[in-house]
Amino acid sequence: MSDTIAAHGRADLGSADLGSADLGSAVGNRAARESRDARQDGTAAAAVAAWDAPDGRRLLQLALGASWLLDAVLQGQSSMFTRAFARMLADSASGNPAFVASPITWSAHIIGHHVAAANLVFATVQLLLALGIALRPTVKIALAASVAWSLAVWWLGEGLGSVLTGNASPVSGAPGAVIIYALLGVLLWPARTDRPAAFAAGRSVGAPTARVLWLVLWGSLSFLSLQQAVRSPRGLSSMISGMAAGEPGWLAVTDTRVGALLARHGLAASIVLAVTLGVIAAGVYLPTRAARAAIVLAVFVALAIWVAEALGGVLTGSGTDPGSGPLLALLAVAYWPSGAVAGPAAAGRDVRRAVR
Amino acid sequence: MTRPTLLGYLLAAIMIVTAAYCLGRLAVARLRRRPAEPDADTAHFVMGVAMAGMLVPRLDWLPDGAWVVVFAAAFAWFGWRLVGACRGHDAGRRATQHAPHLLASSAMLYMFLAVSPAGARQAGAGSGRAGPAMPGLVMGGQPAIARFPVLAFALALALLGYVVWVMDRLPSLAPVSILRLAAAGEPIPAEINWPAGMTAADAGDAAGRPARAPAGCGSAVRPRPPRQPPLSPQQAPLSPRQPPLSPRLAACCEIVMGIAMGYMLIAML
Repeated sequence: MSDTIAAHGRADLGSADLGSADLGSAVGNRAARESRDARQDGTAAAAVAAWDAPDGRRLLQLALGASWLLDAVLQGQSSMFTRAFARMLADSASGNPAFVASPITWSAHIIGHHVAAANLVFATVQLLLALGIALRPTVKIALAASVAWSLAVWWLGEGLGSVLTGNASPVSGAPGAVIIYALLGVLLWPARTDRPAAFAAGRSVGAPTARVLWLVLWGSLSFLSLQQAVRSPRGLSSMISGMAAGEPGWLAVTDTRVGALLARHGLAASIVLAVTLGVIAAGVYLPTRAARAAIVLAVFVALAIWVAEALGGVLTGSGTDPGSGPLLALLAVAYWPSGAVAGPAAAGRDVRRAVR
Repeated sequence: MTRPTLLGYLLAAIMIVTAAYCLGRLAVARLRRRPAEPDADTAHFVMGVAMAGMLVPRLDWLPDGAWVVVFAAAFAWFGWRLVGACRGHDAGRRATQHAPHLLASSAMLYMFLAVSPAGARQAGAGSGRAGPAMPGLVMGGQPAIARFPVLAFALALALLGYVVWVMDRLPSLAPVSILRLAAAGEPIPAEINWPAGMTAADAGDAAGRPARAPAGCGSAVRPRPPRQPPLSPQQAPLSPRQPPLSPRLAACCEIVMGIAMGYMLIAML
């Protein structure tokens, strides 16, 4: 049996350098060449993959894989095997335009008839995505599949994060955790040839595109904070207080007190939140030090959002994901300007000058 | 039988298979004198049996108190080894071999200790199990109510993170065929990654020392070791030594155990 596994392992090694190809440096390319040469030797001994310690992007990929694994485990909770799960999906249709709501209602209806089987499939898919991202030879196919899966779930499971309903707020989880999974899947893609970028998120799509994506995401969060329903006097307050139900005592008390604190100050709180999110959105265009400050602010805001959304409800036994907070924080870390421009073109450059 | 019960049976079956494999590793290592990591394999065996019993109460054949003692002992053992590793040479690497077992032991201990008696009674009533209910999961009954849910969540996060970490290293673990080459003193590439705590010398080098059990060969691999000169046939030992048991399968056991344990912790919330 051991030999079989060993042989299987060797067969997998044909693409073992995919994960390490993200090194995007002379060292990474040399490692990939060595790995190819070793395979061409044809000996069993030579076919063993050399393990490269994960770089920043690989660590972020692993964090993404761990998030998917947590999602898979959450999907296996008892409550997900009941019709309550199908009802939860159907509820996401409310307030959405017909072209969004109809497919949601249709899919929730089908899932409701086969809820246990469907849920088992969902949990299995997420488990495979997690393991695929964590395993270097399959990281590309798993990331591609995760993007497709995320987009489908964003529509059919989350109603596009309610962004078209007029009630969505970053505090209530908008624009949806799952769309951030998709974004991370794109930004952390291990491209064969990396583009020069000072942060991990820019190495696959390029720094300008990555910055635009950041601006759109955080800018839209800022916009959502100023919607009519959110900026009403008790809008934010009732949103946060409503998250307390079913939570452990300390979290319920925290959310209730924060809600009470914001009562009657909805407009001011919304404006402060929108300005803060706007600063974060523009932060990646600032010089390195200011950009880092913006990233730190983004992490703090993401954690505050996580607490406000009651940790995504994971402690109640009915949460399907950890919420948008941890993913926003993970995304922020992916934009941390390291001060070194990674990528082939960056070799030998004065990296600090390049960053500025 | 509801679907969650079916899932519970499925997971219990996987746990039993895993436990049986670990028991087999212990037996083969003993009978054929193959280097292994007996404490890790023993811990996996015991954890597999205990988790199967938590998932399907009919498979539970020890009182709760006995399980608590067993996992407290495992916790103390791996804690002691971790402390010892931190003091010795190459502390960081050796510590990472024992920390995951300590984490798993503490998770098991938590699952047995943190369920409120009321929750355990409810769970037992749902399972039809006689006597005091096994704390933890009973899929067919009421969910057990865990105290300190944040701790359960934190333990689950740590275990799932460790699973991902092991998965990342899985393809680079030296397969048994390579270990056999090394044990026989054949030339081996310098690039290969040995199981944690193992070097070419462990698998059988020219010194003629008995091959020692590589500490943590069931654990995640360590980063690429310093390059060693390939062993020449002249350096081969007089009698070929036995290679250690498959590190990849041992890592797979850790992955399966970690996912199941993480799932059970989350299901207790």
